[in-house]
Amino acid sequence: MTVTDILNYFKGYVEVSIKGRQPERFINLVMQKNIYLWDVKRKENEITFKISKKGFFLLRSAAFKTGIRIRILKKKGFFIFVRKIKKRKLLAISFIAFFVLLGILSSFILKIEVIGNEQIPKEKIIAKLEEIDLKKFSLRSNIDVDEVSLALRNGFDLIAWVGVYEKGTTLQIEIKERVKAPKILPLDIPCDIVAKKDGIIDKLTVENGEKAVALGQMVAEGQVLIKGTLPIKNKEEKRYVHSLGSVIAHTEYTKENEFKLYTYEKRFTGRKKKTHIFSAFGKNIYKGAENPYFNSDAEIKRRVAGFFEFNTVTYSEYTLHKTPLSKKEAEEQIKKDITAEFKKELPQNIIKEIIYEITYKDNETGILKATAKCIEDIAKEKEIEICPSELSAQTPSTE
Amino acid sequence: MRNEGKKRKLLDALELPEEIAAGAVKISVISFEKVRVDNYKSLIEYEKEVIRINTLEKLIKISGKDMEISEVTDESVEIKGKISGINFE
Repeated sequence: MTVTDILNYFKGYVEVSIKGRQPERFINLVMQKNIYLWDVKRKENEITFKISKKGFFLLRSAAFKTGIRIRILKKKGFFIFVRKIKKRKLLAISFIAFFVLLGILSSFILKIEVIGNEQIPKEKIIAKLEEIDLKKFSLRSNIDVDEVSLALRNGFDLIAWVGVYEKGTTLQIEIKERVKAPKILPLDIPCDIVAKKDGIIDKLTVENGEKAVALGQMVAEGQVLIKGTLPIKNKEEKRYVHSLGSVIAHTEYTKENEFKLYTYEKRFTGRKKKTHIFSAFGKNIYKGAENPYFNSDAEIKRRVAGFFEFNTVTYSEYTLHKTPLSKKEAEEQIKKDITAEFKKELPQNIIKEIIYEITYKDNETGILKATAKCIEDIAKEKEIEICPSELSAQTPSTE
Repeated sequence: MRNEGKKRKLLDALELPEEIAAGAVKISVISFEKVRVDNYKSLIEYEKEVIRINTLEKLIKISGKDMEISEVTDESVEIKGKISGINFE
């Protein structure tokens, strides 16, 4: 296809065949009108040629003069295409809609990718991004790289550097985490080791300082376990050190919970209500009736097609009925609950055993007192406050 | 005709190509498959084997095989095909 062909296509042209005597004369007559003909082909007793749409209408007088018969073989050009499209409007609309939709969709973020995070979970980072209104279906043009980077670095201490890249509709967030600096022991600051909790000393290891308690001794919270103040022999002055060591002690945690000797049982009434929710691009477009029941279970059936979501929610009504529990059942249940609570609250592996004590207030209410016996390190550093006069005494005199 | 002579003299003096002068015929043959005749007057005969073109001075007879006119305007004719000869009559 040459440039002229393309031009002719847009102008529109007609393929014509002429029949009759002296077609050469006809062509000469046409030429006098300054009309352009191309691809003139001779066939047995006819000549075919191509002529512009405009020129075709000027052929009539020449044909009349020479007595030549003109037959249109083909009409070609953009105008024919437009005419066809006009007959198939839906095709044209869907064709345009395709590109429009493609344009619209590619202007949104459709996926957020987080790479390089080892310690911070991806969900936390995405939640942080949502705080600055950056989530799926956010406009790509609204992304401010500096803002994203700043928000993430301010939100998480662990993040040292953030890279934000747009890869098509995917937003890639690259994170470099900081490696934590090792904890430096401030050995020049004198301190005591005190008890973090009440307990009975089981093991005592002193690395620096002087032990202040004996094994098997009961200590109270805040009591000094390892002293950082050391006396100097034959002198009144004292030496201060940063005491170090571990103090393993038996500790106790108690918990009291009330429990009932009955429970409520769900009984479905059989009444149900169905509603529909239609959402597109994460936004609810249509929402059906509200839940009409006081007590009900909701069952959601999701149907997802691309960016569209059609949910059917079925609410089933139920009523609550009081049913008595045997003592054994109720006690088992509350013990299980309390153990789970302890395991959640206390650090792992420190619980040695749990002792339960059950008393009944009345026929229906009981109280469970649980004691968790643990073995843990109760050492805590506490800085020694030194009077200024003592400090001056500590500095060696030059005399 | 006196006018024509003057024109030619002027073109010679300026060293301009002669076909610029109205009526001067220019026949170009490109790789023995294409012949272009500029400033022709009319088509006399058009067959697959013979094409005769009238110009101001002489008749050009182009003979060959499977010839066709790829372009015609009022000033030029372009012929394509296996050309075997060009005669002036």
